[in-house]
Amino acid sequence: MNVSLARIVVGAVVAISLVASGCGDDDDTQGADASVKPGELRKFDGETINIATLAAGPKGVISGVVYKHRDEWERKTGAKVEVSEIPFGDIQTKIMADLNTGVGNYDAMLAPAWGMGDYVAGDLVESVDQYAEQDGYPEVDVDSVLPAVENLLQWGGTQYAVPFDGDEFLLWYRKDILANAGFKRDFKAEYGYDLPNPPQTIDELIDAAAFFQGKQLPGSSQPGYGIAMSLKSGQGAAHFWYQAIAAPYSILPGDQVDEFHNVFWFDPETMEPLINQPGQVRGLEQLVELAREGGPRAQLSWDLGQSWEAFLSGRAVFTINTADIASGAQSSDAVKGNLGGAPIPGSLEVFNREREAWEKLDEPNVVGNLLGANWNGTVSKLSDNSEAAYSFLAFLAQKERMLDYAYDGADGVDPTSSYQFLKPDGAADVGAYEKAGWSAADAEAYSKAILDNLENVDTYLPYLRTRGTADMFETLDAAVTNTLAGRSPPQEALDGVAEQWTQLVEELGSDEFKEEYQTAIGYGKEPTGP
Amino acid sequence: MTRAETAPSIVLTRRRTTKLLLALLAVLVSCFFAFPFFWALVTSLKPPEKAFNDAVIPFLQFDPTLDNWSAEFADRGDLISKGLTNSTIAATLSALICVTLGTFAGYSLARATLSEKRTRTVTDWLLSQRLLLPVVVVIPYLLTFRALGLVDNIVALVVAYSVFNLPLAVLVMKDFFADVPVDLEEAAMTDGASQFQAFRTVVLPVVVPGMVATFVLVAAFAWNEFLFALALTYNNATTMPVAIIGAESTRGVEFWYIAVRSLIAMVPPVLLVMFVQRYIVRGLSMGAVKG
Repeated sequence: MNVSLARIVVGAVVAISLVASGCGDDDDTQGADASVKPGELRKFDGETINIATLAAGPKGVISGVVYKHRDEWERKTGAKVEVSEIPFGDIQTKIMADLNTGVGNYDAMLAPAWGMGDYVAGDLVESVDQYAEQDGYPEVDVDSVLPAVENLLQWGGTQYAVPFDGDEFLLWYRKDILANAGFKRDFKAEYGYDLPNPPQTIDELIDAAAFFQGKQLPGSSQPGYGIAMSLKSGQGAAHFWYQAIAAPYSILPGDQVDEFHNVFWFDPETMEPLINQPGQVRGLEQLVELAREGGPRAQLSWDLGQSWEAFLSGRAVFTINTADIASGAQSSDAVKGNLGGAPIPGSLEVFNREREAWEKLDEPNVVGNLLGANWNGTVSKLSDNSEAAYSFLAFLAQKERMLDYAYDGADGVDPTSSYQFLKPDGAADVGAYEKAGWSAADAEAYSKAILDNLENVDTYLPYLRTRGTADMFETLDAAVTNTLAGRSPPQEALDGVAEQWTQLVEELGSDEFKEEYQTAIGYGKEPTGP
Repeated sequence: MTRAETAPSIVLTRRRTTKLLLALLAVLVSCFFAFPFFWALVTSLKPPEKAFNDAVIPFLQFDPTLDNWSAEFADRGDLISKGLTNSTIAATLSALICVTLGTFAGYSLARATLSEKRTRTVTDWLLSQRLLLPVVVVIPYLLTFRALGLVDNIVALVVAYSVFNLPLAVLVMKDFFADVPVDLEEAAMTDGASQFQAFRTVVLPVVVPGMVATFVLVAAFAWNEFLFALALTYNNATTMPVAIIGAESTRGVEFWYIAVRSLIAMVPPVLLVMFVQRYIVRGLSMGAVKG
């Protein structure tokens, strides 16, 4: 017994020594090949990098492209890539556990952008600025990244993330159905105005969705849905639909991000949660009405895939959904060639907190968003192979591959850079999309909808990416789904959220959190993106 | 027909009715427990776009396809085989460790080698360990295994599962030993056996069904465990529960792949239970009837 115990103790000491000696290995010269020729990639012979990303496998979304391109990078650099797949619901927790405990198994993370606050505040990731001007790394065309997306790659002016994916919520609709003469006639008779094609305001969307709910749609044998959304409780995603609908009522456009303009989450001066302000409450009321009047009751239990299915099967006229549903539409007989896309409709009134009054508008207040994960690459500060890790992330973000991602669409990597969008606004040719199986009209709609959402709006929904974001989303999601299920009125539900957020801010440290929040939203600057 | 003749026939009818009702009840209970298995099987045979519809009868309500199965074996074969191997190793080794240690500890507690008060204290302590929420110890485990260089190593899971399931094994084995009459050991010792010999040759064979039942119980807990497997593994030591939950994507839960992986994950435990079924039944019913 004593001998066994002694063996364990000796084993533990030896193991700790080995780990310690491994941690102290500062062989910085390993990857720094100063003799690398222009145009060639730096060699990292013998190094192995471990990249954390979504558990979706070699052909799944996000992780699929990592598997697809790793062999080529390995051949060019002599290094190896291990892919650590993490289930979507656990990705942030697992990465933070690795970084915070100092385990440091991950060299790089291809993960949602909402973790950035945790990474930077904890000094857990490297700035990638340092690599941009060095030879031997894959060249990333950062200048082509849309300003709206670029914000998410940075923190306080320093770039921490390598561009990869840009997500947004958009209004997708059936152009053929909105153009149908019979439906147009019936809608006008019922609502007294022309069937909007597409709806410009949330009110119009509610009317149009309610009009189509239960109607027999062409090509479908079952009663149709006005709108399909994913509002499932406990899935942690319904709050995205709330954000999309609430933004136009609560975000007052302005020349810069200040206390009253271009903000949604907290008052940047007092750090009071704004989530229970009249604009945000109106947004939740509108979401409830849209869900109740315009769609099936079943969507309260739909996940994202089910909302896709409802739209792509031809059963729903509208869906508020992620951009990559457009690529899914290319294998839908009902939708292919009939896809319409637009930014989330706006509203003709917005709550002005400065005046504490609703402000009437002549044009709808349309708010751009980057709702969703926005998968970007970051390099762990604990990595012994950080140069190789950056090299691989940059390799994935090179123009030739980014173009492939855009054409494919099914890989879940949505466009972020101007060269991925169609001419004349971008540099891509519609022929390349067609070659990948797209309908030319759908590719046009896809490209234009994303660009309109990110470039042609007056204000943006700030992307929450501070410490505690996961907790805040969780409480918000519970409030939204409770309200949708009729368990609590909107004001009461959001008051509860505000109370919990106030407590969370205190726990995180009010002053530090204020500084962090102001940095995250670009306080005092011109709003160029979420 | 006389009353004397009709009485046995009424009894026979009653018996038949009782048997029929019991059989019906057994069928209903079986259906209840088999439904998740059936649902998984049906879902695994449906194309993804039909996964959420009401069709449940293959060929009649939908055209079954093996596409999900072939896609899983083609694209995720490595993940599944790695998960099965690691789950088998972790469950088997931790169950062996728990049963071995649990047998000795259970015997000691059952035979009250300590005072009654101390035995109760130890038992309560063991029970409290079983009630401890696993999430409380995840980070300490991670730090410990990091220091030992065992993160993403199957040894870490074997240790974690053994530590966590040992209290259960001890308590279960203690009860099995308590059901074995002390007279048996005393008789053996009267014949000249030492206490260890009496334990090994007389008591142990009696509690083999209990040991098998404990092994199955502990192995099942280890087989289904997710939290430690998620926290302590990265690539090399991932288990089936982690592989199964990996079918939750950004676009929702891919139930058709979850169904395939779940069905595959069921195979080893089902085979194990079939193999040791008679021991389990005897083990679980040990002490149920006392003469």
